[in-house]
Amino acid sequence: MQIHSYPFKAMGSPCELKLYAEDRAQADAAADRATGEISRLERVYSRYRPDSVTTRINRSAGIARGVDVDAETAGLLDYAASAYGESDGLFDLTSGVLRRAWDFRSGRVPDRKRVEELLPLVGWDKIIWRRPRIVLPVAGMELDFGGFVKEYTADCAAQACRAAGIAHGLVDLGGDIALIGPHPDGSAWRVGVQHPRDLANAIAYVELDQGAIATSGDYERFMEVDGTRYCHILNPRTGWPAQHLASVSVLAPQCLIAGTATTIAILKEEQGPAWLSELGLSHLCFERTREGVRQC
Amino acid sequence: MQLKKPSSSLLALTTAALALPGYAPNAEAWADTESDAGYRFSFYKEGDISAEATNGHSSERYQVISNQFHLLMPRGEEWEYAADVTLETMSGASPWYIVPGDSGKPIQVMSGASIEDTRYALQGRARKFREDGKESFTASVSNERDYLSISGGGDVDFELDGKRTTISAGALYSHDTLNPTDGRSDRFPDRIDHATKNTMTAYGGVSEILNEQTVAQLALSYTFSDGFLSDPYKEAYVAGNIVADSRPDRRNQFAVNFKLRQYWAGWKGALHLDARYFHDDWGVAADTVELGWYQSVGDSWTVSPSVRWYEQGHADFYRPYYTVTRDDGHYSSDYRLSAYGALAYRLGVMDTWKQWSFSMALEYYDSNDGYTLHSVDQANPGLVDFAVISASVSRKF
Repeated sequence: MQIHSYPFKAMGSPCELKLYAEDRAQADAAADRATGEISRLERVYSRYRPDSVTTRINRSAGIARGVDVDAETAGLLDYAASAYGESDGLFDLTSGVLRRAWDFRSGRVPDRKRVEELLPLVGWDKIIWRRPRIVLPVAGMELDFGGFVKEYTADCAAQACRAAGIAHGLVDLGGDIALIGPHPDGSAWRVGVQHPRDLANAIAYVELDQGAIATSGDYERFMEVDGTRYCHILNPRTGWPAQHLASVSVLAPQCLIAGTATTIAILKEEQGPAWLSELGLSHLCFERTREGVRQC
Repeated sequence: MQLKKPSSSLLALTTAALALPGYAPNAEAWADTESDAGYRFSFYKEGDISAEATNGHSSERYQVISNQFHLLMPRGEEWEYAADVTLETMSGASPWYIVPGDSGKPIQVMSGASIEDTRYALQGRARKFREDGKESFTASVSNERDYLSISGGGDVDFELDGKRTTISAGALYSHDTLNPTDGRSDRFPDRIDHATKNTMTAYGGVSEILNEQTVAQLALSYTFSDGFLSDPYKEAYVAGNIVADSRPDRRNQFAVNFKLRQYWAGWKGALHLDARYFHDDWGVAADTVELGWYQSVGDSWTVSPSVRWYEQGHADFYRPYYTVTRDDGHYSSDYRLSAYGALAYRLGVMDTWKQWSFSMALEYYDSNDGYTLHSVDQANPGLVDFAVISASVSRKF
């Protein structure tokens, strides 16, 4: 059995499929199914496409009758509702609207008033979600599936490979990794975890023989202003970036859950690692220090 | 890396995640989008009855060769249709009646002629998937030279609390027509030549996902039968006469079923525990406990050893033979109504390769009056031991 590698770019990240197959044709067929699934989900949940589900929902903001959604979107909204509840409101699909204040390429910290003006548009509790209908009651509200669709997509792509007869391999979407299965001899994959400050290198390696690993950190999109790092993980209550943790990796049976847990942990700040232990998932956390980062 | 036990938060997230269509192969409530066709062969053979039990020579008993064809076709996201065709040939001798031997020892008399028959059965099922459950409708017909059964039913599942709880209910009705071979003939004047019976079953249950690794189910069922409920080919010894097997023409049966499925990720295996309590108004009470282990081996193999214990008490009117007549006129010496117990051992192996699935299973069943918790005055000499070997192959399209 041979390993076949398929590097590609999707969802704004470098991605790779590693598939063990009897022959090239079988690997190609599986890779086609997986990448087909990835581009489908990218298309359906893109914020930038006028025909996407996200755009359709966001355009309905302020309209009292709302819009009806398909079963898959309904499943994602149910999941988001569950994550909102389990995180005490920190995991919030509506917080994407804060991007209007935070432009990480500008190198300018927004003034407090600008952030505060946006907060009335943030809050999953303001959304009316009764399957299959969603209502965004306030004009200007937005849902952003970007916070968890990549991880869900990794799971779906791994499932597509399994359905195509692949039992050993992995799907890596920009560091969010869903295993199809261990190496053919049953041994675990050795997965590198991105160093949050030295982006060319790994800070740690994790052995994974099933399930998934997701990593989030303050190095993905950020700006440094007057020695303070402002990252893209924004707290839906304050509208300001998380400050304490530099990187969180979580292992879970589903990449979706691993990814959700990393986001929540970073927003929990100092309590993040303890919350992950409480949740019952293996994790690797690094906090910011004056010199760089340190495992916590 | 630190790890603690999964929390209720994790369970809530997992439950919500697994409801997503992306995880559909793990979530039963979504119609499989692939068609599946398969074939199953099984060979059932009863052990010979001993010379001692028949007070003469040992005798071969029943055997059944079964061929089953299966087709499953999803249509769209909501509907799924399935059809099964079964062809079976049965042959051999079976227990006829029991006579008292020396010092009252029961002696089994076997049906002399070897019975040979073929059964054809056709079953169809339609299933509709909803976001919160499913509905199924079934219809089937089964025909042999001397027996025709037509049945139909429906069931419904409701999933509550984010699929953690499933409530199920269903009903099944069957109408059977018996036209026994040689009925009212010179040779068997007391054997009926035509009869019917009706059976109605209703059941309901609740299944609960207790945590990520554990599922439990509790179900109750009630069956009402009326019509000719005796075995037209069996007789009973009553005070020197041989009379037709004659049972009440109504029967009420109750059963409670409990299932537990516990998965251990570290072992890649699952424990299956099944328990059943049965009671009817003929006075039969029975218990079943089955324990099985499903072990994943390598990438695609599953090996599943299991053991089942069964025990029952006898029907009120059952005797191996009767020294005096009964006021109610009910007589049966059928070993299936006697007090006995059984142990069954099964080993199953399954494998999948690309779109193909294969399975093989071997079961050995040993019945004995010593295995029952109920009191046994005289063991029925017709108690059966049997072995079944089965193999199947199926392919997804």
